[in-house]
Amino acid sequence: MGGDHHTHLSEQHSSHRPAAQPWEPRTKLVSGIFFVFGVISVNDLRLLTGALLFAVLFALWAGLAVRQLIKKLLVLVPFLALMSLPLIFSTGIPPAPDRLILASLIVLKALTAMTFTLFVFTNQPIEEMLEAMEHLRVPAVITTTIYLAYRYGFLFVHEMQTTVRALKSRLFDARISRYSLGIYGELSGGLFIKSLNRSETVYRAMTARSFQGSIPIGAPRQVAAADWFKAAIPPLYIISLIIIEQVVL
Amino acid sequence: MHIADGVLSTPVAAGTSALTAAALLYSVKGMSEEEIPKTSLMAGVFFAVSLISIPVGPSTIHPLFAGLLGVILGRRAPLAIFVGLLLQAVLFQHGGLTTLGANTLMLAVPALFSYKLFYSMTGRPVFIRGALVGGLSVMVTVVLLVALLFLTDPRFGEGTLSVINILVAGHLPLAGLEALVTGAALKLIQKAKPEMLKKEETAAIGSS
Repeated sequence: MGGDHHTHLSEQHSSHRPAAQPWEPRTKLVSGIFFVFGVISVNDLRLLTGALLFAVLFALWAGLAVRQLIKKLLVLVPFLALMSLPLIFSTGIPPAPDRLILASLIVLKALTAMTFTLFVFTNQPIEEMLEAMEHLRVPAVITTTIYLAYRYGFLFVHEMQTTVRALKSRLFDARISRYSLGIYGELSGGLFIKSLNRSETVYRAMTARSFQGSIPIGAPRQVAAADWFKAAIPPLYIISLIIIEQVVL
Repeated sequence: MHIADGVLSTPVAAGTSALTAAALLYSVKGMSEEEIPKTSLMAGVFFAVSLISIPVGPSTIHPLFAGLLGVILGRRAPLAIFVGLLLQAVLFQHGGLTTLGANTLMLAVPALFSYKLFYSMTGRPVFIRGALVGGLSVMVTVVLLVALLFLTDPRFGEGTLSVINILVAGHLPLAGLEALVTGAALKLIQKAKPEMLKKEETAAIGSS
């Protein structure tokens, strides 16, 4: 589950240095967020297909394997099916063309936005991204919280999996019942208690290392001309699509 | 329920992102150094427990934990929820960047509401209060979800088997499930670590 993702990301960072990795993280982050918000503003199927191809090319250029990309995008299928199938068929068969178009727009936007999100985050160590956020004036309390939650989140996932395995080995029936829900409640409550106990230890350890509310970060990397150039491409591309939609189509 | 990218219109996505930014500012205001590890680790647990899958028929559902997090963290809950959802979106592709604001808001509002409600009923059994805020928090989430979908496009609500009807029907059992899970979790916390609940609550327990 979560642990697999964690290992996978770590391996991805260490195994190769793809072309997009040296990209200065602040410009990459801003460019990525601009593109993703731009994508949801486009409402033409042909232009969105172009945006999806653009996002896929960027993701592949960033070093994401095709299989890995497909595997990650497949996670979206249940969410998208829940939204699009009732939208298409709720007023009867055959479905109205406008409903088919709306459902297709949702699917294309979701796939494009998530592909580009993967490009932004998957080949960049989270520490670099958080430093970039802090250099972009995101309050240190937020970046520090994200950093610690990321570090300890997988630990709790592991603890939870171990407890669930222990319950199953004692013939725990996971199906919904008053008894099983009580167990799930105690499992969750127990994890929250453990996290509070651990947070006290973490705080003591951090204050011993001069923690004053934020994790120290280095000076921002200088933004090179190549970074500006790369960062300009996705926003310019999405702006051009919006202009084409508004003016030409 | 995570809203994926592309479901919400640009004005709704932008509006909810702005509201979430305001909620985050409210959440971090006056936060002490000591609270940072606590909130972070709670966000880590929120991230982890969302992976609990309870088998229901051929599918599985998982509790939302907005009520539980609200009772434990109070005004820091929106920050923990935002962080947990951000990690879920980036690492597990649940939700998305453009809907992060909406998804946070859908849980942060019931979390803050649960905090107020839970501590306004001191004197009643913790399990009952926990179950009440757990169940109600799911309903508030559903109301917000329906409102956001309607604001985006009324077609989400058209027809008997519309998206909104299916979502409401799907969340009804979750409200009952969440009530029992939250009640049991808070009862355990009261027994094992009562100081996790607000100070006046702990004092009330001590005097009873």
